[in-house]
Amino acid sequence: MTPQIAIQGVTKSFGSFQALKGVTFDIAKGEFFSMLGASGCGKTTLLRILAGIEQPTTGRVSIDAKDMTGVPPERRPTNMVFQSYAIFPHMNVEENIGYGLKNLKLSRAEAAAAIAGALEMVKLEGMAKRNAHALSGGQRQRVALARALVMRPKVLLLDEPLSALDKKLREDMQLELRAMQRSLGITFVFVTHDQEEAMTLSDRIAIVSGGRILQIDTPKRLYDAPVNREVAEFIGTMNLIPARVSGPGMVEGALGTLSAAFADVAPRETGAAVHLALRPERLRLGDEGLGGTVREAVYLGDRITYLVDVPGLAAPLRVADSNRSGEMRRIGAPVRVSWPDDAGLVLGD
Amino acid sequence: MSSATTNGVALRDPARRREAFAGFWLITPALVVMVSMLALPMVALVVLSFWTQDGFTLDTTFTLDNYRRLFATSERGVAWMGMTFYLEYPVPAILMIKSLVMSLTATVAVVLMAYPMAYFLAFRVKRNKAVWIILLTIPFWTSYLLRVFSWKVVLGFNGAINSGLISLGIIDKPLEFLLYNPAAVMITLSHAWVTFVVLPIYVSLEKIDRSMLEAAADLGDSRWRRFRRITLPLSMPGTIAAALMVFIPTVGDYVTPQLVGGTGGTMIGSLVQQLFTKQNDAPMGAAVSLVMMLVIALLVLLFLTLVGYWKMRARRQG
Repeated sequence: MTPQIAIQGVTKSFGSFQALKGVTFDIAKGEFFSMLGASGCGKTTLLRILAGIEQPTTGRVSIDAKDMTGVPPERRPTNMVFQSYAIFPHMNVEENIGYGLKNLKLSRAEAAAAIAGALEMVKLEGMAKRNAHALSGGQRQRVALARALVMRPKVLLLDEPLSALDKKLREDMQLELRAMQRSLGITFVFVTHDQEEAMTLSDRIAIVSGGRILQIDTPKRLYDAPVNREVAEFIGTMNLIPARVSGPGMVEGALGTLSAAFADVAPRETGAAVHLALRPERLRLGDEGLGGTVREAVYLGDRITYLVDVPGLAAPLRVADSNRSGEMRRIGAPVRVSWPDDAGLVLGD
Repeated sequence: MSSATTNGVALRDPARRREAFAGFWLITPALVVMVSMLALPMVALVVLSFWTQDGFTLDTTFTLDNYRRLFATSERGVAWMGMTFYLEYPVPAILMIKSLVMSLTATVAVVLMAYPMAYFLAFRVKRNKAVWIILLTIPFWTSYLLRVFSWKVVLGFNGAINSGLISLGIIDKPLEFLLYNPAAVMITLSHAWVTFVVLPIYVSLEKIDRSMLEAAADLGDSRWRRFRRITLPLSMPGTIAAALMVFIPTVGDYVTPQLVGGTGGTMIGSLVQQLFTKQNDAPMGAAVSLVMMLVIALLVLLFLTLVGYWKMRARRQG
């Protein structure tokens, strides 16, 4: 993996508000990279810094080993798909897509061919003369994508481009985006607050919170080995049980002393307050383990989600049953919950 | 005729009916004002223009004489500003053209002054925009007449400019060409109308989604190209509306020319006023106003058609 984008110690302040508090990481060439976080976490600010629309307060960004400090957006090898799409209302589809080509030294025929190719790629053939205001949300999104891709950027920046689309269209577009990125081989940097979307699309995901990067990893690693409680809660659902470290690989809490995998790199001192984290689908209902009662049962077809009250625990345990037996437990029924030894993770706050 | 059916259904439904009446009552005040203050006087003006003044009485027999007189040609030409008018009664035509040129100059000057102000307000002022807008309207806290008079004080024989230049020793006797000429009228008109133009242009600039400009920059546009390709075209509707708002009323203005224009600065409005008063020929005054109105309407129509055509051509060329 050759790093294409290097972000080094980037901070950004708006007045007294610090949107980014020191961010350092690399993005590889040809990678589908997502930045995932709640709104206001700084992910869009970072994307705008990559585009050159915002300048970092401190730190620097380089693309293909070239320092981008002070380089305005019009001279960067990046193009962006805006969240609002920013389709120019006084132009039709063709003029919107050809907008940036006017700034390149292209002949009329070359420009026309590029526009036709872009229209085909986003499946808008025959819509070239359609007015901007006569487009649906999905079509606007495609025009915005074509307008950026036709510039042949080294890096395509996407700011929550699918958030305004309905669920079905969003899922179709996710697959299309992924296929497009693979065939073009361009680096995509994608900002989203939807963890499922990030996991569907990305080679790697950066979890952003409060202006910092919490973890950068593949979707699988993020799910299986979150570095802390915040990441664990952001990606999927997690049962968190307060506990204390009682020895190497051992925690002690309301459930007694248990062995658990320590996900953190830093070793925890004995007595440190931690959480024992358990994914709902790793928990089993059966004849052994912790005794409890079913508080709530939700039938979802491919699985059944149970909330199980366990004496001594403040919050009920969430158990995702794979519904292989086809049998549903009643509310109030006594059950026993168990899990394999490697399912428990120890997480700090 | 689906609308007739829906209307019928709507009126049979008591709730809809109440709503329809509420709507009717809501427009009534505006309707009364429009009919009594605009439509009726217009009709009266049209009727009046087909009558003739006979000494102190009005001859109410229908005649086209007033219009005939306005367009009657003559063998002898009257020269004005390099143009020769072969008309029996050339004064209205000359004043008409002069007024149009003066108004147009003032309008262009106003738009050129107002656009940068509006741009600054929309794009550069980040905080306390309301304060800036209130500051802009301060001149309107006094009457129009006072503002015109203050230009007399500035441009006059012993006015601010002359006494200032004299005290600086740049000139030794007052400049006489400052006041009582078309230039003074155009300066005064421009100043009087600037705020009216800043506000609509400001609104149309403020409405432009900032992400449009970011997208244009992202697609390689320099600051100037961004302005030319995005900001200017998107602010054009407001700017055109603002320009018309100045042009149309200033063509017929007679207060400003009378106060700062002197004899050289008279406009068509001054003639209409004189026809109605001193010259005691109201029917002719009516005819002149109606022709003026028609000319302005045609010019505006022509201008808007041209704008539409330019837009089409700009699109085709990209």
